[in-house]
Amino acid sequence: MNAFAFRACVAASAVALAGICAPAAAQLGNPAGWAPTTMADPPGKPAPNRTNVQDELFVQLASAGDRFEIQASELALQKSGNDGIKDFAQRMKQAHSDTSAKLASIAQAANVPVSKSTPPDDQATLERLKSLDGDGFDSAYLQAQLVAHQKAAQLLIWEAGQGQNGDLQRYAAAALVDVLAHMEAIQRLLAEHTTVGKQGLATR
Amino acid sequence: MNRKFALCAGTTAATAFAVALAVDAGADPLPPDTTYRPLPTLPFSTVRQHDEAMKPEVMERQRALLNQRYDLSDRPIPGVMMSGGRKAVQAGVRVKLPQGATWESLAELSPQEIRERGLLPDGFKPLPHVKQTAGGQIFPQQQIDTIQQMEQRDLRRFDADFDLPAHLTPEFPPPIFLTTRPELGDVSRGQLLTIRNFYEIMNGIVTPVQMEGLRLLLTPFPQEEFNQTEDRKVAQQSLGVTCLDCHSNFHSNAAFHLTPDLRPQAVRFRLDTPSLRGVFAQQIHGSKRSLRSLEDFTEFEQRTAYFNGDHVSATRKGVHLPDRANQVAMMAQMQNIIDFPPAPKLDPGGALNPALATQQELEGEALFMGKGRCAECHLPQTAFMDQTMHDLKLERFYKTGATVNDFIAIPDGPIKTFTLRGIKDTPPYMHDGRLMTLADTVEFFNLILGLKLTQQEKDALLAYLLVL
Repeated sequence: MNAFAFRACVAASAVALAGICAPAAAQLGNPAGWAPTTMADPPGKPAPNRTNVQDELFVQLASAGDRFEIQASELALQKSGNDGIKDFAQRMKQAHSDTSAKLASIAQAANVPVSKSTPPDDQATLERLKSLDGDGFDSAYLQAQLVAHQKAAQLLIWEAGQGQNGDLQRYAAAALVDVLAHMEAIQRLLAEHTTVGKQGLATR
Repeated sequence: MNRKFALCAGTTAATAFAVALAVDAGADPLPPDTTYRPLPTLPFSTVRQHDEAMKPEVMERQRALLNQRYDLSDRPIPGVMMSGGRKAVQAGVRVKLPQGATWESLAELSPQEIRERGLLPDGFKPLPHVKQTAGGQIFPQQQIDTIQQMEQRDLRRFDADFDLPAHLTPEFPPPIFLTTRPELGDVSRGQLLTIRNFYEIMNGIVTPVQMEGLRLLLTPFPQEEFNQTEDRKVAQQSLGVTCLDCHSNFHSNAAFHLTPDLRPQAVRFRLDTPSLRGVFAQQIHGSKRSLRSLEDFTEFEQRTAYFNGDHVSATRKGVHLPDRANQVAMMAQMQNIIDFPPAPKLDPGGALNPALATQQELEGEALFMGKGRCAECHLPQTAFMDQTMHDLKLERFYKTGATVNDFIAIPDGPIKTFTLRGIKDTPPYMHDGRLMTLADTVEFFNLILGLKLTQQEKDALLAYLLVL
């Protein structure tokens, strides 16, 4: 992606975020999956800041995902010689620092702990990225970014559908739009870097 | 040995990247209920209390969405009825335009411009299920009332109701035409086939094998939302649903569901019940699964409690495993004698007979074959299908990933080509029922295929579709 296209993509993403940040209605969920301890008041409406096990696991996984993104992007800023990848890494570092702070704030209000450790699969990927240089690093970074964003999109869709806490669900729905925009940018970079055809959202 | 070592080292270097990736692939999977249905956690009475309390808001939210997207008024095309003569075909484009836009102005824009400016009419986007988080089958009121009256079986859910007005759904009960007895015309006697009356209606008309298949197609079996466990959405413990509860008289009553073919739950798109008319001419089955025989489809849906793609949850609720050589074959042989409704203006090859067709219909046929590009997939000589799947890439026109009524619209991807024979009988249109009228479908394809049809051409295409 050239610099102009990249800036256009960032701008488009910002517009999308602005649009999606408008207050959305809380999810009208399936109570069959609510935790037995859920306090509903009135019936059908979980009391504010109630969470279910999905919310709690989501906060753990999403906060760990943000940390991985920031760490991997810092490595890319140090090690990559490709301007497009460095621009993207800077964008990821900023975006995931922002979402990390926002998620921490919602989690604190809901009294749900965020992740304090790096999961083993993320740790293994970071170690591998540290061991690579040049083209090998760029390829591995982009591939790791693709996988991370695919998993992030799945996780956000899952929380938007299966969670219970309205703030977390709205957070997930808004973040999903951004993550899909990131995924499209990765797919464009991958197509440029590997010279294979575009895939996924980059084909539209 | 040295050569072996060199070969090994070279392979190692060349595949280092792949090996490293393999380590990642074996790492933590996503949470289990991104694929599998979570087990119920609360007593049935508590779930029902919450669901019933939420229901007015569920229905109001869907009503608001439908009214924002569509003109739902009752405006029939004068003199045009569905094949049984019991219901009028609805007129006009019902999808609402964005403020300030016209169909002509939209058709001048590129897909990118429409996407960036957010101008794709919302009615062209995937249509959410009325209760996405629970999903499952939702039956129209006429079906619920008739089955209650005839079988004392309750198809009413306590968490959500059917969401479209009755004038925008197929006629009920629909007529039945048989390939084996074309001289008889509609054999339904104006009744809905049920387990109570099928023998009386069909005795002497079908074979013993077909009769047994029909009995099975009308026999209730447990389903995700209609069963005897706490994980149900019907008040009383239920015997389940039948194949023909959605495919009323082998047609459709516009009952809807979620696709079995996607996870997580939030991205499962709505499925509008397709008609079984002409299923004998269809070589692939399921909007996405491309199952290669009607027997495969008929057998498999019993295994997953009807269209949830989940054999695990279905097993809790009681599975029905029909014998392939006997029961499945009989069910398929019954379905395979259901004919399309008559189309007297078509010749045996599917072309309009010029002696019977109007000038406008002939103009429509020419557009269908040419400028309109319809016949590229809907081949007249093979019952207006092409036995494959196509990706319309609608996501070129809008930003995917937005959450609407708990449904997240991701790209549709390839979807099976459905027949256009008898198409005036099967509103709403598209696999999810997102379009209310045939005029909507003309505008939809005019935009996404960039056809630039004039109003006269759109009217001619519509006239042609009404005679198929």
